[in-house]
Amino acid sequence: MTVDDAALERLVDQARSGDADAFGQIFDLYHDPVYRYIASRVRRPADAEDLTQNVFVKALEALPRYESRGVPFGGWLFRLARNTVIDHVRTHREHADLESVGELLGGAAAPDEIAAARQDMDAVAVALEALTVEQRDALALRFFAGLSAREAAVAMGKQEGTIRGLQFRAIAALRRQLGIDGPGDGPGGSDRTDG
Amino acid sequence: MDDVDVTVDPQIPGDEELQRRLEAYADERLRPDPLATARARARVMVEARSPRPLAGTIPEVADHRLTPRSWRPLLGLLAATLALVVAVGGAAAASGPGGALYGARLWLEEVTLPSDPDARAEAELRRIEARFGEAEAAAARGDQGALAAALAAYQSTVDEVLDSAPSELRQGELETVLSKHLVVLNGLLDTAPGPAIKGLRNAIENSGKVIDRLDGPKPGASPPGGGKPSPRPDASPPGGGKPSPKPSASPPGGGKPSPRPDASPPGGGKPSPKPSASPRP
Repeated sequence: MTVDDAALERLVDQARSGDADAFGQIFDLYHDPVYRYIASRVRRPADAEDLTQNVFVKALEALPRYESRGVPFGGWLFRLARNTVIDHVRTHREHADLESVGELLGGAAAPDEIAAARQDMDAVAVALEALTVEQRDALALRFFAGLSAREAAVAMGKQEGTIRGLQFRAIAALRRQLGIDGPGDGPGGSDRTDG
Repeated sequence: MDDVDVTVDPQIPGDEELQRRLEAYADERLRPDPLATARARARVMVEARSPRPLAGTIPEVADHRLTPRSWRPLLGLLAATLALVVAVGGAAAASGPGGALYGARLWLEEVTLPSDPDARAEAELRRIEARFGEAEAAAARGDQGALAAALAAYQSTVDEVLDSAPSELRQGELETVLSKHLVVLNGLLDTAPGPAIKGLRNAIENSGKVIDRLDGPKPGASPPGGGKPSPRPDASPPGGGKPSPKPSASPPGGGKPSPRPDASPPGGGKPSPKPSASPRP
């Protein structure tokens, strides 16, 4: 356990004991990663903002039941975030299809450089949407939220090895989608087999 | 290090490019709006400060079945609890901003403040946060009376802190808190009902003045790294027009703004505030 982990554990203990300021610090620590994860999974920034806030309110309510033994806090919090996203997607039928992604992207006419940058962003967005849900989840948790493989495994309720496999296939698929040279698709063959 | 990082390996051709593009994507499309973050924090803190069961005090659910004989005392208890809930609920409602007991509640809070100047200033800062949370909640409900009462109490508490000649540390905290509130207050201008706008403008103006006053020349206080940015993140001119509308997710200018001056994680910070190129192994 690193010093940071110990400090975080103390903070969580204080928050569990009703210390609102400690919870405020947890919010400050995790808000941006949670937002980035959620924003990478839902379409509208406004939804991502609302859902992120909901995650912290839920965390506040569930904190008395959290036990740190063997469960990293980040994994626990992101499990709440993931469930919140799943509920939202289910309720709002936010199933991604590439056509609608294409419609969402792009914008008004812009100078060449801006247009090129936007196209680049759009290409990444489309490539991400083309991943399976689980690949995207694994990639978002590891890359955009910065979780460790163990935390991502807790958040997704899977083994660490599974997370690595999902991540590996996601990277390979992204490389192929974006036309970036890479070392092949790795083990596992098709990228659409695990979602 | 609990596993091998497989996301980005600079030795593998193509990974650096993928990393760059994902980073650029995260920076452009997944960056939270500072105003929305400040607003969410204020709401979450209102929740966090409201009383709730602590860890280990959540009652276990009884697994035995109730017999008809055991109903009678339980029904009595239920009725008594119900009456208590109604009474407490009524008192709580009356002690909210604009309620009949709100003034009494503020007075009670004030007389129970610690006598030690520093502890008192710290408690006053918490009161400022509480008043601000009430104002925000009132604005969200569209309750103009409650909003006006909460803003008045907010301003009065700010003045009390200033009058108590706080230490430089507390002055810094007050400045940070007010700067954060100023951002949210400006955001509320866009959504608050018409009659509440004046109260909001007054609060913005007063907070701006307080920040300017706190930010005034202090003996030997030169900010590190040269010039200090404007202490007022988004203060509207006194009596002037409505401030600029809510900024979009990515503010113009490119640079990532720091939504919370106190947002640095304790002890080094766990998740990186910027999208991490290589996830923590």
